[in-house]
Amino acid sequence: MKRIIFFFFFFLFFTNFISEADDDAGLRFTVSGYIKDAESGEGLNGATVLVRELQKGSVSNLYGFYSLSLFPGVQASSEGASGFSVRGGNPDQNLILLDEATVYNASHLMVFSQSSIRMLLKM
Amino acid sequence: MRLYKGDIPAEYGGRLSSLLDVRMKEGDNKQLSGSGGIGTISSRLTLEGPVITDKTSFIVSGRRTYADLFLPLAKDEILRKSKLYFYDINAKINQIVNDKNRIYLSGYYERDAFKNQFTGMEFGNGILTLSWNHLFSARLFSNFALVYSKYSYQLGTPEGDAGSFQWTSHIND
Repeated sequence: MKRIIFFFFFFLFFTNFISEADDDAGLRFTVSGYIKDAESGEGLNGATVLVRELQKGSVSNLYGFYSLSLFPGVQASSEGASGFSVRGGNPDQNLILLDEATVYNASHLMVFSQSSIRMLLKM
Repeated sequence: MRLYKGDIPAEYGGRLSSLLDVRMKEGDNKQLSGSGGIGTISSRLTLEGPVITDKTSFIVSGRRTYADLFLPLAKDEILRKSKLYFYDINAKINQIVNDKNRIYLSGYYERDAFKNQFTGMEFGNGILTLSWNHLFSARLFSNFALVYSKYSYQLGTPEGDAGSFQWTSHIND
């Protein structure tokens, strides 16, 4: 028990990098890195990495290295633009409907869903 | 508001990645109420209430920027003659005809514009939806909708100039 508590007090350092894997779909993203003991810098094996929202995780190996493959979800397309991309797609690949009608240029609509006329929408 | 990231229902189509299905709220059919907000660049106002209590209700909402109100105060001549605004209006009326029939009418109109003495652009969407919900029985629900959607934009330089042009385009559906 003492040993487990001891482990809890480790501050884990994550040296992460996100890279787009070279698989043919190009839709998978990999988060990987080393989990190290903050005090000694020693790689920790058997430590769990969990993305709580997705309930997906991975365990570090004998050298403290872990690798986790994830599908991208919804991302803002770029700074200053209101579009979004889903699973690595383009912003123009999304169909946006307002009360069953297609909204062809949703840049304005997206701005209101962020803040202004939120009160008008069924959320 | 519902976002499908995959397994998009068969009745929707035409796009590859996702579907964002946004629905407007229905107006309060018990009492009249309103809300609004004042911001540094735009203000908004929403009003909702019953036309006939428990039967017909409406909701209207609008927003406009007013940064352009201050443009005439600018020292710069070009800036003074510029136009810069956007606005949007949403409205929805729903009527409970009887236990088995409901009718909804909703509209949305929005316009963004930017113009100065050399060039200008404008764009906007408008939609109008009339839908009718009918219950054939306790187990069979139907929705019949008439939908109109328009998107248009304009680009151009002021009329009268040599080589001036106006480019307008729209899509109607």
